[in-house]
Amino acid sequence: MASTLTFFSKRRLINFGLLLSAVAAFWVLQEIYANGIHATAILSGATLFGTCLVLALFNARKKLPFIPLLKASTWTQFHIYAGWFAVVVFFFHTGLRLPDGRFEIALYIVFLAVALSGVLGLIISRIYPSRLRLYGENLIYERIPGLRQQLQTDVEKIIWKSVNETKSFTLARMYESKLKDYFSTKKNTLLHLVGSEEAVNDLTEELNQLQRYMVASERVFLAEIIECVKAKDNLDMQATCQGVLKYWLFIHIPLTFSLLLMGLLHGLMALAFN
Amino acid sequence: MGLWLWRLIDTSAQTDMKRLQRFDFKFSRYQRPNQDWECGSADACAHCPLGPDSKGQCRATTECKPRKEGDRWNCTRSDSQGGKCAEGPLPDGTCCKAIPPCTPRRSVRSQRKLAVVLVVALTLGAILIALGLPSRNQTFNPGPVIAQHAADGISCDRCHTTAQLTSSAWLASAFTTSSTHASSERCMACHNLGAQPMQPHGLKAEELSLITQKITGSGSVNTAVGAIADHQGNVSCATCHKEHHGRDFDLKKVADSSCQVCHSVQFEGFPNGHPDFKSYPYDRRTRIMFDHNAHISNYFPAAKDQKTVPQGCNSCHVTDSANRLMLARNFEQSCAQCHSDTIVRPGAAGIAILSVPGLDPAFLKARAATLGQWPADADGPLTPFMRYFLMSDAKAQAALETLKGVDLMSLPRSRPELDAAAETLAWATKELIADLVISGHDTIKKRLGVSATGLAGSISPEIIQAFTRAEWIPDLLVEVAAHRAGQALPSKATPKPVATVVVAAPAPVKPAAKATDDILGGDDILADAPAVPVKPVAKTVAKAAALDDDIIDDAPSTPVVSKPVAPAAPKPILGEKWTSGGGWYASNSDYSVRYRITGHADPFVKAWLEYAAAQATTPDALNQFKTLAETNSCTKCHSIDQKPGAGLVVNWHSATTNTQTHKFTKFDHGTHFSLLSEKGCQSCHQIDPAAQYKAAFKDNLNPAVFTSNFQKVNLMNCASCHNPQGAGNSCTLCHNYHIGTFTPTVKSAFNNDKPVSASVPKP
Repeated sequence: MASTLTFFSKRRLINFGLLLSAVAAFWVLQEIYANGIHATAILSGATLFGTCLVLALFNARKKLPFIPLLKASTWTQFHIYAGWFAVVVFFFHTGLRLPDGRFEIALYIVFLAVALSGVLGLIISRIYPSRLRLYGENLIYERIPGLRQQLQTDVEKIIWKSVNETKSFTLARMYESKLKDYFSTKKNTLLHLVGSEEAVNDLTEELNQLQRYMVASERVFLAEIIECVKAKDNLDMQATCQGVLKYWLFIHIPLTFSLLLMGLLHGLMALAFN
Repeated sequence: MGLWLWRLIDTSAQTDMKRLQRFDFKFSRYQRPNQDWECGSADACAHCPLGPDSKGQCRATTECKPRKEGDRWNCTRSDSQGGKCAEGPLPDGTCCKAIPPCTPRRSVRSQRKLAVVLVVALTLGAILIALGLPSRNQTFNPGPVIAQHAADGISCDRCHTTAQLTSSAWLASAFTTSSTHASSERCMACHNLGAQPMQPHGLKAEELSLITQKITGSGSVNTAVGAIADHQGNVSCATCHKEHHGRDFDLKKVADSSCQVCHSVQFEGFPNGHPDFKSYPYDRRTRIMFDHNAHISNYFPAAKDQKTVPQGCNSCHVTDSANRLMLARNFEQSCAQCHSDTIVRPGAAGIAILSVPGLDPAFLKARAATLGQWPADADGPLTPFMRYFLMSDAKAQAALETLKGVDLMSLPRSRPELDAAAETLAWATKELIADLVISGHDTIKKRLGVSATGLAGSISPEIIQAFTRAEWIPDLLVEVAAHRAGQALPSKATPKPVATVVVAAPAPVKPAAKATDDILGGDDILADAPAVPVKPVAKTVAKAAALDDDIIDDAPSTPVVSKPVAPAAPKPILGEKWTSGGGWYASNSDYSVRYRITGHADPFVKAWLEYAAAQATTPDALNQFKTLAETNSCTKCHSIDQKPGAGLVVNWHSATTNTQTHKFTKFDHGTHFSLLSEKGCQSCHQIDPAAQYKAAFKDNLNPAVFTSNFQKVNLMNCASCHNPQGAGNSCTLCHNYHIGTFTPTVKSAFNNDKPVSASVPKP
């Protein structure tokens, strides 16, 4: 059976086993520490804070790529499973109770935001890269605005060429009424988030419907424009997915620092008022 | 939706389409996403090759820097920029294609960095503002406290020593270790839990050790206590009581595992493994000796009047105000119907409280000159009450010690030291009586060292003055004054020869007034009675009068013939007959002042028993107490307990309830009544017919040594309901942690700054 597992499956299995072991070890440690009467909040809180600190080091590690400290993928795996461990310890710490105090509510929300954004990041990092790699042309994110501009220019050239050569304004009218807006900005963001091709298919279908009103020479230009429409759709999909892959960190990382600060204060308070 | 989800994860499809990017060096610009700034014209594909500097300044100038080759300026625009331009450089060698300046924008990475800085700054700012605001405590309050702790005027610093500190001191106190203990002490400002509230169970270490010894046979307290206690053995309140969990949180709820930290013999639950009840709920003998078995089996069935017989347990027992304990009803409700007559028996003599003790006639004769007056026919003993009065007299004590075991009525001639001791005792007795006659209650207080209240028993001066009657010691006060002054006895008080005294008879003048027991009679006259020798015949009269306590019968020995006979006056009854309802009287028969018990719970006898019990700290004092106790029947039912180092205590009442007393176990009778079987109380309390109940009261002062009238309660009886599926079986359902008697802490009306405890009870 083991031989049939892929590398990733094996890795997932091992890491999940390690996570369970860590949780079990923590639980045993907590029971020993509690001894039936001691408040374990100090232990679980310290563990949680320490885990968050270690998790935050992942960001530092990315800024120091020249230091030979394990592979980035190893760090990523550690970050993911340590994150799950932190979530488990968090529920040990809070006892599955909702907080009542103002500061604790804020801290609770921030932790949940960091944890949920982490989970979201994990999900999208498992889905979007594959889609980006397998659908259409892979584009560099920073080049996308320029490429969109370039694509629009190319389409307008085709339209002009069509008008000049066929003396027909069918394509030109279509461009003015629908395609100009389509090519000028990023479109169908939500549909791209969920991987839908409905919008581009509808538009392509609509363009194909125009063929009956076109002369044969004009249909050649129409085919080129449809190619551009598909390229624009891919471009939008790349922009959307890569954008999400980049911008989810705008929640995860800043809130992590906020969480560390608030967690530190919370810990000091707990010690001062214990 | 399902299709979308499929596409969301479907990675199998790939399509061919128009390619937009070119990666050859002529057309592909190198991207540097790790730089903080990027060209603002990038969207228009017109960004310059230099890009912005590290501070975000546009560095755009021209598309190339022409190079002079010979006398010509050549364009150097790179292929990636479109190659050499057709126009070429200007004559002055500058590029003809100026790049329009842009407003550089932040890269994604830089935006994220900025977001981090902003969020951190916002967080820090919010924290600092929150710490600085007056509402700081509310902001950092981790949650609502229980309703009692949330009353108006109760602020954080009522419980937390750190709460009134500055914010910086808050944080500093996180690294000190004293705040926990100090905060627990603040709990004690409102919660009185005894003298050592933070010790395990509120008990001193030695007390805990004793209890442990009793239960386990080993005095060593579980070392696990050390794991939760500080170096002084204190366990902070917050160890078990976790606050800030809401208004309705049960702060007293403690998990069983908390108990089992120290109580290391762990078991599954009450039905499975709980130690068997050794004698529960009987932890001592009953305070009132009442043999349930004898009464129910013998006395009640044999009672003449079955109406007086209790019909059930609740005829004599009733729950306390909290429905917790079953208490015995009082004497009048439970016992008086059968036992009131046995306490005050008609015709019974009162208790001799004070008396002129009898002395050896030969001794009296020999010491007549130095001893003064002494009723030769006095033959009673020194009363136990007088012995307590004489305890304050060292000489008398020494004399009593010398005379220990000697019959005062028959002093051996071979031991002259006994005569001296007897004379000392006789004078001590006379001094005592004289002091009582003169100073009354003050003497009681002075001699006994306690307030005369109760011990005086409302005795009147006239009763005491009986001692100065002509037949008793008429010159008592004069003689005692002379004796104390070290002078010879005055001539008036010159003692009559004993023989003469013996034959002393009532003076011919006003004989009735002298000899009567009338406590209102003019005894001052008796004090002045002349000590004249009387005829021997009078002895018979005097003796007869003394024996009858009534010489009125004998006084009018000469019949009046010359005058018409008046109707005979009704003859007053005297002595104990006159005081049949209880009270004081003087008895001429034995020269004693006696007290007749007024009924159950007589305050005079009770006060003396309590006084004597408190003095019984030595074997001799214990015997003295027993002698005093034998003068009445109180201790037939009221058991006596030895208090270590503090004498005895008479149990006047059966077990009483005190809502402020917390024992290790608690039980609520009221909630169980509806669960009883047809056997009623005997569902749990079954009489043990073989129990030697009374034996525990005979010559036993230790209440812990006892045999109950009842069998121990069967644990499985309780366990039939008290299990996890039923009525629950947590430790604190039946056990208290804080042990002792705790009075509520009250605020003084005169000093509102410091809450004071009503008392510091002992556990």
